[in-house]
Amino acid sequence: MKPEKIHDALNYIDDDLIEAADKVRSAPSPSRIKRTRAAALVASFIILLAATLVFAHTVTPDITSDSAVDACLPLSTDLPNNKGDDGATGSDTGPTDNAVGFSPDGFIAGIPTPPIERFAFYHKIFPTSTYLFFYTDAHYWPEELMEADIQYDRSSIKVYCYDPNSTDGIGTVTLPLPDDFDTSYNHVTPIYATNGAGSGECEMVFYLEYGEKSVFVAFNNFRWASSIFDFEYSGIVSEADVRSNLPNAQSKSATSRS
Amino acid sequence: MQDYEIVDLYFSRSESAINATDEKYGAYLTKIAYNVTNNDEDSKESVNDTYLAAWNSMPPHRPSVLRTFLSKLTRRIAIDKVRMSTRKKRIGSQYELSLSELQSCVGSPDVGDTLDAKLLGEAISAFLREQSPDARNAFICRYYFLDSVRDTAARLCMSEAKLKSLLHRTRAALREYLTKEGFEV
Repeated sequence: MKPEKIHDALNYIDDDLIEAADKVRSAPSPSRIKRTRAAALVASFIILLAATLVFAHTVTPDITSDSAVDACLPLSTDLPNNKGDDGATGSDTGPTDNAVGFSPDGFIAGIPTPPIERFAFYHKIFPTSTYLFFYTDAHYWPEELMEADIQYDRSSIKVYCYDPNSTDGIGTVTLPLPDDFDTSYNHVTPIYATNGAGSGECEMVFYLEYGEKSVFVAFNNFRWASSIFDFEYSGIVSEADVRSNLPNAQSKSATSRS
Repeated sequence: MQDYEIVDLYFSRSESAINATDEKYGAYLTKIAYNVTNNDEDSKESVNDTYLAAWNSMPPHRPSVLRTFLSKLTRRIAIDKVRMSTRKKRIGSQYELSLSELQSCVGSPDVGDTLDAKLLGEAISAFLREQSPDARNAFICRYYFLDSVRDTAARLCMSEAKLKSLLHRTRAALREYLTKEGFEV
């Protein structure tokens, strides 16, 4: 019998036998599976590592668990948006309960997510319909990262400002601390913004931490014109003042937790 | 597209049946054809001839597994092409000429050969069912799909040496089996 005959005969072997062998030969090769699994493991590890690093850089202490803050701020984490429309004073200011997605109150659709999801509050400029949204940078330096971030300028507090109506989009406001101020803080937390005395003005209060020490500082005399924003350092605020000036005298605690 | 939908296209004589077949099985069939011919052009021709053969056979034939049906067509067509090519190379040989002249003395070879091939195919199927899955799959991958020893060994997670040894034992066992079944080997 010639081998050709075997080849011809193989065209008549049962379909199920061919199918079974076809499945074996069509399956990914074991070496490819191993490579794929190894790649998946490596990718998972990298993602985990990246997430850990990002978390370490962005997480801020829970100030509601800090004894100093607990003493003056409500512990409530139920934070209704402070929309208290204050047409008389010409501003509408308040914290947002969550800056994630950066669309407080759903006022404006399509607001981009800020690059850093931090505490934010908004300020509405009357009589215009302009809303300014503020959020801070991730000002947190765990001790082990101090060296890496030591270059950061802590003589001021940088606040990002978003004007949806401006073609400039997101800008920054630098809130300068006075020259004699201790600029070694390792954590800054925005607490709230309240209406300022004049039209379109507001005050911002931040909580600065220096290891075991902490202090509340306020900035006011907010100015806004043609997409230029400005605040002035007001001074250190007592915890009692912070408590009494919480927007709407409600539990508008400063939550900066991401 | 599901296989039954493609078959339905053949039955409705829609030319899109060819496109659908090519889209789903073109690469698969080309690989089989290439394993046989070891030539890109011949492979493409074999696959195109496969589509024509499928077009001519459906209807009335309705394959239960389209993939296997097409693979058999491609394999047969590609093998025929290799044989034709080999014959052309030998053209001018008096031996080849005499073979074609003597063919008339032995009558039509097709019917008998086909019958023999079918019987032999059934016997091989029965033999393969008695073998271990590895031996069975190795034999079909190597001799039906004509995959290389290297590829087949990789698919079956065994060394090439082990595969060669396995194939050797299977061939010997097949010879013995066919002899017992009354085939002249």
